[in-house]
Amino acid sequence: MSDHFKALLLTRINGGIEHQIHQLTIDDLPAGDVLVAVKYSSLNYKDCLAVTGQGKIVKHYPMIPGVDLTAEVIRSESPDFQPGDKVLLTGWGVGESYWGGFTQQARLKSEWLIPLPEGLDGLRAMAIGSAGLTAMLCVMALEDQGVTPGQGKVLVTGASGGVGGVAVALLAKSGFSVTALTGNRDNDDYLYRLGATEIIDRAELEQPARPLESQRWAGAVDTVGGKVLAHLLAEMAYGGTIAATGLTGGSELRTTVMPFILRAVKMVGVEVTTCPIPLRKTAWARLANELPVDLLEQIYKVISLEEVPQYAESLLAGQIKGRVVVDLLL
Amino acid sequence: MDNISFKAMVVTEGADKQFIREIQQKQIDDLPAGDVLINVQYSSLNYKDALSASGNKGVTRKYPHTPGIDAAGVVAESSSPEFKIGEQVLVTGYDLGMNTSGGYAEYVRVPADWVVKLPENLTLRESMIYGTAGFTAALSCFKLINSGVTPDKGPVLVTGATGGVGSIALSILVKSGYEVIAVNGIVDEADYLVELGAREVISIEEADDKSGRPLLRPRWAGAIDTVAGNILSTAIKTTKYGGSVTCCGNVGAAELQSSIVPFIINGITLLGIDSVNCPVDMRMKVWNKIASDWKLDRLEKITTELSSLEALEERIGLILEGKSRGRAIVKVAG
Repeated sequence: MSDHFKALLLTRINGGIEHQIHQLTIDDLPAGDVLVAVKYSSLNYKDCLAVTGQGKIVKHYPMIPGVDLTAEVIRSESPDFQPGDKVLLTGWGVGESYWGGFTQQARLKSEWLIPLPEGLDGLRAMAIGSAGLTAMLCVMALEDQGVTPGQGKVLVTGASGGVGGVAVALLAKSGFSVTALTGNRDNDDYLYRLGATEIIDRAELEQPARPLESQRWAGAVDTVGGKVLAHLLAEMAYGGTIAATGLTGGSELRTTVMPFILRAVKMVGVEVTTCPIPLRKTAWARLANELPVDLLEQIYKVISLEEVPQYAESLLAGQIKGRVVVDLLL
Repeated sequence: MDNISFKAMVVTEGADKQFIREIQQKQIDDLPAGDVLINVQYSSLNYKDALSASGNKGVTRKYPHTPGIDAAGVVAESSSPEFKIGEQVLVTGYDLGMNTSGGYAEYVRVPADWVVKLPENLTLRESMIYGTAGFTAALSCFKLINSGVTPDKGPVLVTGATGGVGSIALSILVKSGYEVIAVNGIVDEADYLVELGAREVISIEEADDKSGRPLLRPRWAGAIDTVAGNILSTAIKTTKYGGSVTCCGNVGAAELQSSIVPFIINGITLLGIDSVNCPVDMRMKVWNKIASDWKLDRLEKITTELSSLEALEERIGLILEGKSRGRAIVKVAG
């Protein structure tokens, strides 16, 4: 183990946010009871906002972004973890309020960590990452509300993105007839391979809707928000459920109560950052079991730490399909 | 059955777009076709009834019309094996009183699948104290509780608490061990709300945030909203992490100007409540709860009984102004 390791550090200079690869030592790391060697991190929408200095994601500077990581324990003061243990961290404010995963070493709080789920290696766990965990929680929310494949079609918006891609694959695997909504029709083949049976253009749902339109969807996973969500609400079937988890299309929700009071529609907000540990473990175990490896292999690409800033720009511009894993050893 | 005549409220549209309410004689043959003819003993007054009775075309398209979305009575004639003459039954929702001649009449005739047998432990009169408003309140409580809002997680907000739906939701939650924070009416009814069991009463102004901020200090584990509009938006952004909000009506405004932020940061669930087309299995579950665990001890506190169809007139005005407290039932026949 060399004394120095590299990390992507964000600093505020003259009011702007700059990113640079720095050589750090463990003395530079914040307090925590577990020191780890990070193997993989991933690039989520939130990470892209952080790296490009947008969206007030980062609470203070300097900051190492990266809301996800898989790692091997180097030293632990916690009885729960031993050197050599393989661990997984997603969320908890890491990469926002605490230094995150875009580094070769990190000092972390043991309560944020779970053992790497059985059946997943570090790379695959990061191919799933916070985005994939979010997708699983959305699917579980639809199940909890009683949405079943027999009731009709389900829609996944932002299907070309990380959350959307995993949601399409999981829902299709569970027997749902999945319609994918995307702004990028170059991805049709990819979406069909993941299990979508129908693809519609995002522009269709960006149009204003009447308070109630024809009933089309028994369930939906919405990663877009804004106009798309407002339109989607008007198209939900009686008793249908939307798992809402994104605001890439805007945070405002201008709609009416009509779908709720006349069609008993439900909208479940899905939050992944502080999702409790027991639910997290259940969701990861299901991801390890239910997400077909051959589909997961099609969802992600691997980049180096140096490539993070450029990929962050591309992802925000909607030019990246699926998931992006950051390999800290590249 | 003979084509006898009976008393009914009839709303007619005058030439000058004025709507006139009169108590008239109608005949059995005037009623729409249906499986079950019911001799109505009691009906009730809901906000929607007042809209129908005053010419709201969003509720009732065609006049002349007999309103009354609720009816409780005795089966007078039945072509359905499910229901026998003399059986006590009730109807709430579906199309009753909207475009089907409703409960403000001594007789209604409806499809068999709209009819619910009166649950044990409930009288016809009591069933109408609940009525659509009480059923909506109970369905809201049922879905809120099922979504995981338990009493240990914190208080529950009830908006429009002085109204029919709100008063009953408040009472059911108190009976189930919840601490309830009630939003007061346009007319100050704080004493009434405390008497029903509210731990705290807040003003409409406090429940109607105008700051434009997407998130406010989290105050309650869940909320039962009965008014919609900005009060619903406020309830969504003041609910604690993982909480649920139900919404069942639009006394406020049909528009919902909200933000996705409370949903994705606090994991809030918004549960739409529809009592009109609620599936029959859920309907039975909720009526049975109403007649058992949730049966309110002090129903009379929330009840105003109108002695005849004629007496509805004044109360219709009050409910449209948002000034009617609790529930009003009307004795129709018997």
